Amino acid sequence: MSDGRVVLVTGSSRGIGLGIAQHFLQRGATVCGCSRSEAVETTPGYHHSRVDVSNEQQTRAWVSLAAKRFGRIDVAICNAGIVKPGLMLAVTPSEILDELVATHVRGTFFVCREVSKVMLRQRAGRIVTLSSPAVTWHLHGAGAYAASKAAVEEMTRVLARELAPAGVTCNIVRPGLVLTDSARAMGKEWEDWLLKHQTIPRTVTVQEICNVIEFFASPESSAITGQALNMCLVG
Amino acid sequence: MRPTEVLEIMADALEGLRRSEVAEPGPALNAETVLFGARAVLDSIGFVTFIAEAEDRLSEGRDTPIELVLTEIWEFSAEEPSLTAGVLANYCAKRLGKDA
Repeated sequence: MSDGRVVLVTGSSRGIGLGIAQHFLQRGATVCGCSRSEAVETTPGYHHSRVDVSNEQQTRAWVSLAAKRFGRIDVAICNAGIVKPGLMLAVTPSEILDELVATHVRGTFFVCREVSKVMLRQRAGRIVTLSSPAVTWHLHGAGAYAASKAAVEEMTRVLARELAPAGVTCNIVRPGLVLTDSARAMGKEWEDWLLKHQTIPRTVTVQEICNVIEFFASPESSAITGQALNMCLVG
Repeated sequence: MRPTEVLEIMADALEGLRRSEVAEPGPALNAETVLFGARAVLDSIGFVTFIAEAEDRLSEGRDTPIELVLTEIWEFSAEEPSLTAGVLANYCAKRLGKDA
């Protein structure tokens, strides 16, 4: 049974993005997901496209196709992200910086730009971007990662101001440590360090992130825009 | 597509925005109508909505959607930050010809 919402999720083939897609599918939404790899989710109502969000033309075509096919976009969740081994800035290769900027900054920019055009015309919509507590921690080894996520946050706040007159809200979720495959690959030492810095020293579940996103996507949050919500952390 | 045909499509797009109250009521669009800058008939949200609407209407029936890249419009420079419908129509006509 469809709840009528059309939801876009980037990076939906694994980890947090897959969980977000499944959350909205369980509530009966139509979900358009994308990632650089093939679809994992096969539930009816899920529509997957292979898209590299840092590619302007691919992202533009994906958003345009979703809007044309379903007639609207109610919620866009910019989740696509990568985690890279933390190196001191002095020895961080430019390739790592480029990859982080491409996925986080360019990817979020292109998705938000194209989705904005659709939401402006329908005079409604919800945009949620995924960030990280790393933007406030000034974390050793996270110079490139945190900078790219800080850019995402600032972009979201500017967009929130720009789109507020059209009834579109834009908010940020900072999930804290989630044990995805990417996070596990970073190692136990990194995991312990993050938990030590969280106010609530435990991992966050994907469902808990979905609950926050669900609130930002709901009519109940229509008075809230440009906000970053920390999980497991006093901000 | 000729610039005059593009202007007709843009005029329809503007009227659509006026009907949905995204743009203020006003005279019909012509080549001199300022879309962006001093004395513009659209505010910033109206301008973005107009560009998106024009892209959609101009893309109808084409395999590849047209994208209006404002920086490509040579008349639309930082020194003279105003954009008329005529300038935009000329740009669109050239762009549609190039992409055809």
